[in-house]
Amino acid sequence: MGMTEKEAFIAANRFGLGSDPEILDKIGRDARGWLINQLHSEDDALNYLNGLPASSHMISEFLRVRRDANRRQKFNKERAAPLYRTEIYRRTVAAVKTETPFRERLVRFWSNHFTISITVSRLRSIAGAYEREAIRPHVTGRFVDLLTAVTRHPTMLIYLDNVQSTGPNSSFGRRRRRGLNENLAREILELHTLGAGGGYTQKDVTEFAKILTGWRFRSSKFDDAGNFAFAKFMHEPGPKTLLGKTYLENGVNEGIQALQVIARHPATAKFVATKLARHFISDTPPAEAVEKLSQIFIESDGDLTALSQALVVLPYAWKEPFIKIKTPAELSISAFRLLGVPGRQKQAMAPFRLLGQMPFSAPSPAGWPDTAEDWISPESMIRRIQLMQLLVNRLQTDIDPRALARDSFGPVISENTRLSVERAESRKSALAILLSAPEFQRR
Amino acid sequence: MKVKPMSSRRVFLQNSAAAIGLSAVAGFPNLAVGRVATEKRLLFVILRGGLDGLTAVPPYADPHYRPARGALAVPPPGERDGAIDLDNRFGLHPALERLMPLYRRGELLIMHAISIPAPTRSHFVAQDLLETGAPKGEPLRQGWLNRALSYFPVTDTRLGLSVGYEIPNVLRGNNPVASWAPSWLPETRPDLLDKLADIYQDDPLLSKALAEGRYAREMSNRIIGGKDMMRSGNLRRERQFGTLTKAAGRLLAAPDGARLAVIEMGGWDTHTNQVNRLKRNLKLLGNGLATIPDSLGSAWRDTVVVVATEFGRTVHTNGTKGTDHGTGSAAFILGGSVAGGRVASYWPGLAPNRLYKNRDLAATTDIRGLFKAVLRDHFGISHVDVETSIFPDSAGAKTPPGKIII
Repeated sequence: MGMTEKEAFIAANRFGLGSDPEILDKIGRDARGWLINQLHSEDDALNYLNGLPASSHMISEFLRVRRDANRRQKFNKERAAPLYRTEIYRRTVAAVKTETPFRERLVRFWSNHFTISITVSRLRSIAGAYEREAIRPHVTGRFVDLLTAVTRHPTMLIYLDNVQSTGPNSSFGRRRRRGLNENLAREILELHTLGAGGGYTQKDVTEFAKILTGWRFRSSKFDDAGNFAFAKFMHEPGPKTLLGKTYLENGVNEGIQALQVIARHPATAKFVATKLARHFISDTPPAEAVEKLSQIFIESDGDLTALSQALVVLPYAWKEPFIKIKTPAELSISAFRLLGVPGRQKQAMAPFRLLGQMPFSAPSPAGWPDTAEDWISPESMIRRIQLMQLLVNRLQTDIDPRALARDSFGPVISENTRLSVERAESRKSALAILLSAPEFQRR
Repeated sequence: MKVKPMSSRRVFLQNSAAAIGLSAVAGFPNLAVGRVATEKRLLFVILRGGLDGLTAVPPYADPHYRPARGALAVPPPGERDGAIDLDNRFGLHPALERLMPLYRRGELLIMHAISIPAPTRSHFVAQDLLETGAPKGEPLRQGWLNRALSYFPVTDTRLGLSVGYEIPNVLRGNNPVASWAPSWLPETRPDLLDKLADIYQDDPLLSKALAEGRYAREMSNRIIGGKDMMRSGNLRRERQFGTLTKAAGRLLAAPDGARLAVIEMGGWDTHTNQVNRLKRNLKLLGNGLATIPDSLGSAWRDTVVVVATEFGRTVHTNGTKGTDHGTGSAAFILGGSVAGGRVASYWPGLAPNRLYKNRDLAATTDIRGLFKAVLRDHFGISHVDVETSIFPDSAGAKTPPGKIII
């Protein structure tokens, strides 16, 4: 096994969504080039996602039924729930089949960084649309555009309560005695940009919440229902001071400008660089790697193509093939890449559900955690094995485990795993062993 | 010089786990059998998201409560949907009514105006402090319950147990712990697991998790029996608090079961529409907790249940019929030997000049004081160990008013 084969394996698994015999051939000798090319090519996953409805469409549909309990219930059952299932199924198929898996990994990384969650159940019909509309178009663009798109998106505005947040001195606030909700403002600073130690105060949170009042979406009276809209009648009037800078009354532009300042803050560079390095390099990434990414983030003014490219060429990520534990979602998708994705939605979703990582259902605005400790517990270890066995048992086709081990893991498989696969009493046992082995549970 | 904890429990268990690779037949499960040295049990329930203590345990007699809370205030006892009176000062939210028999029997102690030592409005920083027992800022590396495991007697082979999918931070650390969650996945054949134990031997993380997982499965299958609770396949029901408390009760009750168990419950971050959301969640909480004495049977007298959250919520209603991240909240301590039937609190009051930073219920009790008292008075871990090793830099965290254990 040569160095280039090992690098192809790392490219496919650490940066992509899993190994299979074809992909290692495709990657060939230039693993870094294969990854970097994806940053400059079309998003292939889009081919599997066309025809899904826009969030504005689903919001208008909902707005038309919201006042009638029966029609609302019907909408939830017959529209929202099936759409959510279809979205996450199509998204899974896209991840399994896409020719740009690194790009897809970045989509999922940013989608998790800017988490929304159907734990707020009325987001069910617009969770997938959020990723398609706010995340996907910007993963190779600029961080400030991604941040702005996310913050303007109705799904985020609902998820973090900004649609209700009202300037106490706005016309609506005075008339209806409503006030601020600082949830979105706080989580943007803590989770999306500066990070918890990023040097902001409670006062900054309150001021930022005032800046963001009025960031909502159109209600049903208008043609553009369900799209972002600034509600001046809810916006807190007057100057606001955030992170030492004063924003004079300027409607929606205050928020746009504040996001631009926050996006360029050095603490944001550090926070984003740390998360990216933790996701792709190691649970405890080397300080130099974080420093380098942070520097590129600042120098390129948050150019995410430059940042992703810098990540790929860092030497740290190429040293050891199995340093990260796959999350349940990564594990499931990589298993489908080897075994084929089930044709039935329910079966395709079972692994996510059983390992506790259904798409768009993170338990908090911090998103899914990203270290081995978070995903490997005694219970989850047993479940992972049981699940691999379940997937193998359901297989309709014959797969030769020995060929699979050789062609998909050749460069990195341990002697012990290889022999265990070879000596297993049946094909299915052999496959279950292969999929439960560290070589498959890690990336 | 400090005497090292008696226990080399950690080493002992690690050796046992390692032995699996060598002697697959002997296996881990045998360790579950045998005499135990402590009958004392602790169930720690973490309410994630920031419980509004002012709704769960409304200070209805505080003249500032209703004006500050407006429509979010729980009405006083006697009014429609009013609180259940506890001591002429505090009430219990009516959705928690199933806890009242415990309170009347003196088996429920409530602490109010309690919080982590260094107030923060970040959920995640606050939860780290709550769970690692750090005095401020940087969390410690291990959870305080995991550190406490080191002081269990060396012959005690039982594990700390997370009842849920993952191991929460409070249980994470060097001492091995198990987790259990209801599941309907088909069991794996032992020979496959043996084979994997062999393949995992160069991967400490996976091999440790597999060994502990097999042990926990063996224990829970035996104690909970069959698959009656696990078969539903209904994720919502599987994850419901009541399902987990029942399981935890049985796993703690067994003579050879777990001794420290943790359950996590979310849904407390009530920025909007707080009245209905809390009503629903408090009901799940109260009804779940109320099943525990029955599940534990005679072990109830040896059990303490501590229910705590990372922070309370703002005293004033926010602009969206909810409350934002605050400071002081309430904690619940239940158990057959708990000195309960009262609300223990140095009540700071809700007058505007008494609020923390003009917005929160001030904290008058450092929650580490509660945890320390439980470890010392319930488990008999020495004062020195509790103060220096389990909760470093916590001398300022005094024991709350009155005794916790009879």
